[in-house]
Amino acid sequence: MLTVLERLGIFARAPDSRPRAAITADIDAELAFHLDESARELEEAGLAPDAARAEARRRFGDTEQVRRECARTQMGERFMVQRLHFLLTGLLIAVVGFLWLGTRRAQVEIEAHRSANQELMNRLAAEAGRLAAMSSALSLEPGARPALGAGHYQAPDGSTMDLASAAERWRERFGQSDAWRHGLRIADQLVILPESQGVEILAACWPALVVAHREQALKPFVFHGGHPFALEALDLGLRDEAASVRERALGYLMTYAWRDLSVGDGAADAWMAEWREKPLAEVVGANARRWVRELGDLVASYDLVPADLMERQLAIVDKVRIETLDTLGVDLARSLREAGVCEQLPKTLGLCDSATRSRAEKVVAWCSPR
Amino acid sequence: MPTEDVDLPPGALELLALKVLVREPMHGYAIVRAIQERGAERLRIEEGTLYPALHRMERRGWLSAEWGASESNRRAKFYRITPTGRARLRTQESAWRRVSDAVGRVIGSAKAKEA
Repeated sequence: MLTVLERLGIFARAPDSRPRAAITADIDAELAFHLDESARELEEAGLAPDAARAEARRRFGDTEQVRRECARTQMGERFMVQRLHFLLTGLLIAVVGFLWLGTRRAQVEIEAHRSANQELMNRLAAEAGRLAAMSSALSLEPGARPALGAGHYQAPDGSTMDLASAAERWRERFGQSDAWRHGLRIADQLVILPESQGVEILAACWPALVVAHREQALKPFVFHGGHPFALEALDLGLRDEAASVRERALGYLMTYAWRDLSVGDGAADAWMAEWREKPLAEVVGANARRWVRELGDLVASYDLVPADLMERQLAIVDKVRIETLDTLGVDLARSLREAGVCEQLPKTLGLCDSATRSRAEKVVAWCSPR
Repeated sequence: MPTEDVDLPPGALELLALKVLVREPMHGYAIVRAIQERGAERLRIEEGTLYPALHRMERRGWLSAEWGASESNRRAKFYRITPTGRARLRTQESAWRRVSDAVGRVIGSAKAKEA
């Protein structure tokens, strides 16, 4: 048992950590002491000093060999420990290096994910800004509207300046191409500007825009329920000198007016004067309900509604954007049910043509909640 | 009775050094003298070989060492046996006796046959 413990080095002294010179100096002193004592005793026994010294050396043996063996015993283990120490240090450095490389690789991946996320966030923020701008009318009290003239206007590069300077920059941006897609793309960027900035800048640019751009520029303002200032944008189109632009503006206006304002001079102007200052949800809600009421009156008044009356009433069905009502929170299905349209309409179609029948089916479909 | 000196068998020097250190701490030269005074004059010890043995035993923990003043008031390295060294001495003594007896019996029986 003792031998096993000894082999394990349980009792072994820690290696001498002093400098090599100090260790060898101790060994030299120890051996010199022995030789001196031995020579002294031999001298006392009667030998001449030189002879005594020579005899002492003879009895001692190979001094140099003894010194080397003693030094090896004292420092040999230390070298072993040092070698082990170097080995462990090397291993540690390798492990740390390996871990560092792993961490570095992970950091690069994280960085890549982060920049991808950032890009996504930027896109989401832009989309959120656009949706917020479009839906801000919903959060307003009935009758209230955000004020025009926000004071600071964003240029295409995001810097802010006065309206004239910003409009100049946007005009330049529109002017880069006459293609209709280019006009639509720039209008897409205008519509996400906060408050009324987009409409004000569009109005300032309007006289300088080519027809193809004017035809396209209104579209983003009526998508997804419409920009809070969609009617201001449509007003630009209604007053345009180009018939194609006016026609498009009138088409888009049906979504809010739920009637055909192209009939009769000044109908659009009169309607615009009445509704332009009101929030979109209120505009659409009131106009759609009026149309439902008229339809309800028709189906209630006739067993078979005269074809021309029904045809005129249902003419707008293909022109309105029904999703606008959902976006603005108008419950058309409920209005249709309450007006008795859902049950009565199919029974009163009578002699209507297929186009009118098809529109009537669409209206009945609107009765189902979505 | 022959009087010529004999070489010390391997391992015996360590055993002898441990044995003389049981009484008191000593420096290397005193250890050699003590061994010789105890009747080992005829053992041919090359005195220098004691030192590597002392250093080995010190490293193994059988001996501890410290520097002190000798009888002649010189700086000398004194060795002291440790509890581990005492345990080691007991096992080595016992082993040595068994070997010695066995060798003695073999030699004794051989001599008897010769006679």
